[in-house]
Amino acid sequence: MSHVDENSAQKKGALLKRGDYLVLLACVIAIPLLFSRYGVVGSEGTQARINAGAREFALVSLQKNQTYHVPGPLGDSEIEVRDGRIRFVRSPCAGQQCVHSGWAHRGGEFIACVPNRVSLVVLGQGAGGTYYDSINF
Amino acid sequence: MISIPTTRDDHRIAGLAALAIAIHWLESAFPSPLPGVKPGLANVVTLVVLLRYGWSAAAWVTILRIVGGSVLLGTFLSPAFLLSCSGAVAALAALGLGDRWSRAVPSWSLGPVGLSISAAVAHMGGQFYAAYRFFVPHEGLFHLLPILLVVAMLFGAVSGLVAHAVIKNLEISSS
Repeated sequence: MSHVDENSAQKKGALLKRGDYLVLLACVIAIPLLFSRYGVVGSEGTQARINAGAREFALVSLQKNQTYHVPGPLGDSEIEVRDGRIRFVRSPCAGQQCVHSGWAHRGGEFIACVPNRVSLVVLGQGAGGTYYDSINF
Repeated sequence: MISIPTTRDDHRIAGLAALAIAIHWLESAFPSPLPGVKPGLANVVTLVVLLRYGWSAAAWVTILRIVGGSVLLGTFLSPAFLLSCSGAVAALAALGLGDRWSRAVPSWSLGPVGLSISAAVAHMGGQFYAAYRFFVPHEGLFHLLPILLVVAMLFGAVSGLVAHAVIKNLEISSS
């Protein structure tokens, strides 16, 4: 391939170079693919699965109001089910972002306490259903 | 007294790493728009260093920032530190590839914005992989992936724009 002289788009000081447009194009293509693969908003969930590390800790009904203590490497994460919703009430982690994530109730909604390795996912009709929540570093 | 000979490059890297640590630290004091996600403005320093002094200087600044920043914030060797390292390794790999690409195909070279977006997406990918692999090995985590990557693209673009402005100003002031 012969080297083309630096054209106007490549001019020094230009905001975007030609390669940058390739990156932007890749983003524009990737975004809908990612959402179609991983992100569909689900219907109201009926159950939730609580995981501790790689293991399933419990499969719980969202119809039954109850509090669960889930052991992790840092201590117990306290998870509460109330009125068809589920949340982290207390966590031994430093960031507390699992607690700040608040309630989850739609199918596919997922909250994780990464440091304590405890996560929960709401199961609803059509298991792929998803609503975004936050990840806790 | 033992004295270790230092070069001008060492001093420059140390100074830039200190700047990156300061930005990193300031940023951690602000609430995040999405829990667990930060704009990563310290990466502006990494980008400027990459484009002006090359990849290895950028890698040094990044490593020093992560270790120094985590000691300051009290997260050294914690899960957050491990995630931060995984992200940094992935981001540096992306910057290295981008840099090579720009040299190999100069007519399609990458500027700060393209490099920054690639690095931000790689950073998020690396962190995500570490979180999945070591902490929460559950497919549910993948439901967070699209929104995290989109946020990474946006923050990456912002850092790239800032880096572009900084480089432009440096060029004006040094010419």
